[in-house]
Amino acid sequence: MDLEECYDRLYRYCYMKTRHPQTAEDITQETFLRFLGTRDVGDMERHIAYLYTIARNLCVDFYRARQDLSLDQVPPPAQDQEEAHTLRIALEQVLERLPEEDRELIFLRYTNQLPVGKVAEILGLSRFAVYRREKQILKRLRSQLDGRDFDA
Amino acid sequence: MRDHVKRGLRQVYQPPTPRKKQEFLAQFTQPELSTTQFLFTQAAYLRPWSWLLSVGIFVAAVFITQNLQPWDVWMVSALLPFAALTTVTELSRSARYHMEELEMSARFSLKSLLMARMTLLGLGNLVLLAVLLPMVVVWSELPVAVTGCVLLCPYCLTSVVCLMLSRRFRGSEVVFVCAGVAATVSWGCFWWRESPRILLESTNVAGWAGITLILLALMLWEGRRYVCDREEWIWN
Repeated sequence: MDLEECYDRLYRYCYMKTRHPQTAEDITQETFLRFLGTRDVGDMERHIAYLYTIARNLCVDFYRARQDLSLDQVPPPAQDQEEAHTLRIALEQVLERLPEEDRELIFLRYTNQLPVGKVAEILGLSRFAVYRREKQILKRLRSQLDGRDFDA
Repeated sequence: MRDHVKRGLRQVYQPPTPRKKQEFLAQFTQPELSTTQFLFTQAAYLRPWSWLLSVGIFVAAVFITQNLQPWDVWMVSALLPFAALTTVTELSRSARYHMEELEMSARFSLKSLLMARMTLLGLGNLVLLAVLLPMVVVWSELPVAVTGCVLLCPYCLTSVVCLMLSRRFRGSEVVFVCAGVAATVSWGCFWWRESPRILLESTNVAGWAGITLILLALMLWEGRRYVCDREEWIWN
């Protein structure tokens, strides 16, 4: 994973947390600067969990500074109706109803495609717990999406 | 539905294109280095004697094929464990001199360096085997499969055992232990010098080809484990 890919994934993660592109980009850059303050560019891939932890803490700081919004009450994502996919919109709506930690787990595992070990490290869970919760969340997502017709 | 959900999850939370990405990343980007250039830089760190030994093995093989009887093919296979020995000892050099941490703190990870060196040394050995195989086939008049087994088995066996041991032993002990293994396998070739004849007479070439393939697979597996374990051990 190169620097640019790492930036994109982290930006997407921050966007998932904040739903604000400019804030997400600012937090992404701040995360990079904080990480590189103590470590080297070459260490980024190896310490990816550390990078996500910095980003998450910065997102929490952002919401603490803005007391009017909590992590569970973030504004809905801006949807471009022309480009938006039916399934994607449905999934985003269903994901919105999940608890913050479950949404993060699914995001890291499937959207950012991190291995289970890394997800476990970021969320402070055991690998087994990640497997188990991932299975449960997917089951819940499928049951909630059940009955809708998608041609994805 | 199962695939749709998983595929759909890859598409969720698509943010707009970041506006300041390139300007921001420009301050961290390092000069590009292609894979070939990287391999060349690592070739410089490999000691010349490891290449010279390969040349020595080739010269000895030429001498054997020119002056000895075709049934003395065991002599050529007895030389090959030493090619495997140089590869493994060269790979474990940074561990012997306790240089892993230094190498890891440099631009490339130890894993990339080991992979590059393993590739270079492996290619060197592959060239040596590719040259020796037709030469020995013409000289000994043995079938290609039999010659392949006779040449590859000792090489792969030495590699597998040496890689396994180099994951367990630290420091300069690795060299002595691996040298012992190479010498034992080499002596085994002498002890079992009738092997090509047995291979032909028993018409059990398929079995031996299977063993050779298993040893080859084990060698690749051990190489992978060696590279992976090396990094984990340091961080632990």
